[in-house]
Amino acid sequence: MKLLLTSAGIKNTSILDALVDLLGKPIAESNALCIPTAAYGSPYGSPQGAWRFICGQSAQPMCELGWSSLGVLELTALPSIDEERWIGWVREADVLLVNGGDALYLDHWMRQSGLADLLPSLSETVYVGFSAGSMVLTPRIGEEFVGWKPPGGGDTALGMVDFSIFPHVDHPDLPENTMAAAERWAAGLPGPAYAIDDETAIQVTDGVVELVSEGHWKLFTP
Amino acid sequence: MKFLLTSSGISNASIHDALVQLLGKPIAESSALCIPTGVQPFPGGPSHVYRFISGSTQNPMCGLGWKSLGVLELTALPSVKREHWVPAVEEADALLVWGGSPLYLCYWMRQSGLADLLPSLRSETVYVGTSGGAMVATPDFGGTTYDDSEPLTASDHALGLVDFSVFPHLEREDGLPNPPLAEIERWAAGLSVPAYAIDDQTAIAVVDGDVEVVSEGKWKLFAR
Repeated sequence: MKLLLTSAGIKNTSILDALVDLLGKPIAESNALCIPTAAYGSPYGSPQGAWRFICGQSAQPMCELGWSSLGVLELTALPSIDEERWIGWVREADVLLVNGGDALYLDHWMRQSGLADLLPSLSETVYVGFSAGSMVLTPRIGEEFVGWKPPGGGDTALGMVDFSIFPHVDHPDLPENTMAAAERWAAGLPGPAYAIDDETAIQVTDGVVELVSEGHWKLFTP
Repeated sequence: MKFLLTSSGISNASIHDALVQLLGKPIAESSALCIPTGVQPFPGGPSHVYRFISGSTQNPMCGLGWKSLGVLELTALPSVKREHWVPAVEEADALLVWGGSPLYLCYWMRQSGLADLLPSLRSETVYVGTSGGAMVATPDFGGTTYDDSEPLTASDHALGLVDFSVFPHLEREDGLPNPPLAEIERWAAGLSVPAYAIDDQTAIAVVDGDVEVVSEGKWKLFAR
């Protein structure tokens, strides 16, 4: 899988160019599945927020980019759908667009649905996450971001990359998300960690990490 | 709760007018939650779900110009705290319930807790159901499922929010199986309640137990 881990979606042309590069073809020729699930687990989420994400009317551009086809992959529904059927849907998609919300709720449903087990076998598929949709692939999200409590507790996520992510750093509407707060957060983690603002994305191809940014970001190493 | 049970959504001006009348205010001043769950297990599920939510189906329920729209995904509700979703349902002016598999939808209506909540909603709340979304509001859909996979339950015992059954898509012309009238008559005869067969230009409005058929097409009542 090729990863484009954003803070707030496809916010600028550098991130858009990176996405088209990863796809290897125009967006208008690419088939996308969007995953709204993380929104349902967040106390800040709402049914209206899920609607805006799917309909491409949120402040985190993903679904509205002009995909050849777009479908909704609802992780909470997958355990009650014939496995062969939904695995086919995922295999046919060029890109997965993963909504933000609560990272551990998303982690729980990534595992429960079986999608987490399938992801490593999708070598050509592009995974685009924003906020919690990016954090879910990291080894740990940090205590500060724990909202929905998983049955087993803790702050561990899927660990498909080997760094953690602090999104929305220095966001004007989130006064607590300062770079100093990110530094304190990173100090509590055993591995490398990136703080990224909404104009930044982390691209991962074959294990190679590249920062795509028209804003600012910082890498913290233990 | 008031009901507008349709075969194919808000497919003509008469059904549209009935919806506005049930709401008691313009659609542009009404809030709605849409429920895509029934179509999740169908072939092409993700695309059907997207087209429903984005209002790009042929006779949209979502694309009518609501003041606000939200997605209520029933399969997610058991893992969401009740205080995060119950108020959203209580505040909505309309619930837009899409079709698909009535068995699957009915199972998740109960499993999510929504079925228990519905009878306590404000009397002004309008339940708008299309196809399977209409059938689950009835007491019994008599084995009519539109679904070859029966994943969770084989029960056609539905929610009984109204006291008649509905057979949608009478004389359908979209290429899907179109049972002859004699077969629908046998279906109705096997039910313990009256039943309406309605075509895609017909809806049934229910207010305080009073039933009114709104139609620019064909329908038939099978009385008990």
